Amino acid sequence: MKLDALRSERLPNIWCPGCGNGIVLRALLEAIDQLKLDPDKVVLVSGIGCSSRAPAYTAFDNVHTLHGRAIPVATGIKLANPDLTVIVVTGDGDSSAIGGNHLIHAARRDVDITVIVFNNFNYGMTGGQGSPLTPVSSITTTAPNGTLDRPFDLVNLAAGAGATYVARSGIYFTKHMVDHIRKAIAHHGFSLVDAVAQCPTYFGRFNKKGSAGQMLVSQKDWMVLKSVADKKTPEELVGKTVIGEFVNIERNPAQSGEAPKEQA
Amino acid sequence: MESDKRFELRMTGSGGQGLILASIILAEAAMLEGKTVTQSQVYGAEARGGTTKAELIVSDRHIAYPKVTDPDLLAAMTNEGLKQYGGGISRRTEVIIDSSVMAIPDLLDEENCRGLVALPIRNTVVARLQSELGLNVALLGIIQGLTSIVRVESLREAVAMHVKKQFLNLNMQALDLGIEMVETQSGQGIRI
Amino acid sequence: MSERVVLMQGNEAVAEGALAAGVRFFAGYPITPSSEIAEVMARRMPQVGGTFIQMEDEISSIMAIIGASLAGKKVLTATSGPGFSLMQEGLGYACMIEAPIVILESMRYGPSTGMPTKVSQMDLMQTRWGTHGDHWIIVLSPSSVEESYQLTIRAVNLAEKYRNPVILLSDETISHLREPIDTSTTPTLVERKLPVDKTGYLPYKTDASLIPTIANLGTGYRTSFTGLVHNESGFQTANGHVAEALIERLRDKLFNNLDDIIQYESDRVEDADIVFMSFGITARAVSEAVESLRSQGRKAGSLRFITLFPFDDDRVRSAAGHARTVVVPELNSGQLVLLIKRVFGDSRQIVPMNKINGDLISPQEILSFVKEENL
Repeated sequence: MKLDALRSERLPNIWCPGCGNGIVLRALLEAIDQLKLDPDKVVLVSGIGCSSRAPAYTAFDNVHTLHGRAIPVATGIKLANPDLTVIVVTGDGDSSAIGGNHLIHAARRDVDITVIVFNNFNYGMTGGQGSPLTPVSSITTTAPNGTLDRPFDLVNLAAGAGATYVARSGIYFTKHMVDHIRKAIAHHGFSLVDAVAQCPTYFGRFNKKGSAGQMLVSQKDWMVLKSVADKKTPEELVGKTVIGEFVNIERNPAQSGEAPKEQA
Repeated sequence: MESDKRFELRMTGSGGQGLILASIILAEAAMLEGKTVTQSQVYGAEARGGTTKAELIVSDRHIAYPKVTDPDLLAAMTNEGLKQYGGGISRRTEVIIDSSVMAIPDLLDEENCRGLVALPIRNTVVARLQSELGLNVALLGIIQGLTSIVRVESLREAVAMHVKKQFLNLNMQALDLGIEMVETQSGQGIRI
Repeated sequence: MSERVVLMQGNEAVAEGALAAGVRFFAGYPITPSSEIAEVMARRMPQVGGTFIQMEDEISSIMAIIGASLAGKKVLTATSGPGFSLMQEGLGYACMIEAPIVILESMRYGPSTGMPTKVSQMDLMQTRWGTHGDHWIIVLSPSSVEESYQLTIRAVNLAEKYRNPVILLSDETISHLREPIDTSTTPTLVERKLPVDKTGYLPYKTDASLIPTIANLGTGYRTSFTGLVHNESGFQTANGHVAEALIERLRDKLFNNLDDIIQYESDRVEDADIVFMSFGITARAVSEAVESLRSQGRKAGSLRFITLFPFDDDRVRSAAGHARTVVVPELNSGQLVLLIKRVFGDSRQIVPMNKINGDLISPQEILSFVKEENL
């Protein structure tokens, strides 16, 4: 990865020690670098939250939008200038709660953008409140006795809404993550990567997940590669999170991005 | 139409009768003669079948207030239309009703309108054209025959701008039929 | 009449005006009474090489046009009160990042879902104060189909020139009214100022105009946009001095150019002893009422606000003549009149005239009002 992809004058970043966001950002920059994209033609668009600060640390054009609204802004940018590679950097709350409607509609339209969800299972910036991706029974500042609501499975949500590339990875598996982000960006159509990170400051501390290092390493215990998981029974996968590529299909020709035929 | 005068028309009936289109056609016929117009209609929740109202003002001068306040002509094609939008008429208002589907309204007399023209519009159109499609354009023929607000040629041109080719002949016949109904109204129409 | 004089509906005139102004991106969501604008755009945009997209709601509609604007397109969305409420956060964001956008807001009867097919002028203050925080905005108000066309072109030009959101405040009556309009004139178009040198590029650094020269996305300038308070480089800061200077600049870039932005139409105010102040569709009833009063020998005049905001008290004061009585007819419970009272205090008799039943104020009603109130 070339260091000039970062705006070093903007560092240090605002993230807590042990935050997983830096690893996802590095994986994203690595993926962009491997694809040899023209850096002048890459636009990073984010919403609000810890992860959404990531684009401003990069040397690309970047648009820090409103809470939940990165995807419609990215849609406008991409349709206005299809030559650009438009990547949304978002968090679990930003993308699946306040921005959930935009997420499913962008997937339905198969807009040619990539959404990287920095998923740390809670709202970090505002102090560790529960998000739609917080596992049930977890302690958050808005669920002091444990969350009652079931979480979304973001992969199934995106796939069900029509995304044509969907993958999940974890920050422990850095090469795996780079590979899947790269494939997502290279994919022609709507792509999403559920990039499982960590928030040791809130989610980890509240739920006794140990130190940042322990949280990171633990991913190899509770994550299972899809190729392995495919051979296991549902009972064997209880409590496990499957990582890998879940959807990779040719986009619908009707949504190929060609202008509709002019009407008389 | 006298020069420098403002002519206000209100048409009311049932959605689907084509009254809004008729008001647009008449507006464009007036524009072809260099007149200025404002056209508006009531918007209801129903897409089809509800009571509808279309309004048109034709003037030689700039039209400031764009809505009909004191119609010169009220054309009511259904009882429901007359009931809902028949208010606001005055002794300057000539009223046309379709006697095929409406009885002569008791409420209309010399005191509250200038005159009433009751013509069996729908029945005549169906009998002569074997179709209800020309109803709105037949009404335009009647309006032309009664008021000469625009020339027949302008109406023909405006009709041709709006109707599909396969219905052009039918609509031209409907226009002529409307004019003919006015000419022969003494025989079948009622005028107070 | 020339061959280019055509019968057009108000909404259609907005769409055609936008196309004539160079708008090549439209995002919207259906709502009465502005849906026809989206319908016309869906048909017309592909014909001119532009983009139409129906979004999932009004929030995404305004965000999509902001994105397209940053990528260099001239953009429009169209809505009515309920949708405009949803657009408020995007509106504030566009003010803050200085994205040129135009929003057509066709007022229907509110609050809430209200009466969707009935007219009102109840959203006037929402255009000015709908989004949170101190911000400045341009609001233009057409009163005819012809003016809907012309002001849409003007709105796009002002948005691009000042890098500011511009709201076209129309209403149900004008949106649905059909009138002849002349589209034969070739409009003068304004293009946003773009940087020419990457060396030392600071997107939010301004010259005396106070209008920033920001590069379009994808042109190699590597710009950073944020709704957070930002410095000249476009990056977030919590420095109070920077914040204060930013908010003041956002105000002054408009207020230093009021001669360019503000337009009124005045009719015989010079010798009038009674002046009507109004905007939009209501001004057309005023126009006829003034004519009638004059024909009866009464010295009546009219001031119509074509630009509603920025609202400049001094300009209104000098445009108002010396009438002792100012009548403010409007289709709400009294919004414009608040501003007029601010201008004149107790120095004139300010008389609100309000109608809130979903119908227009007619010329006859104005005449009766003047008589009954002994004005």
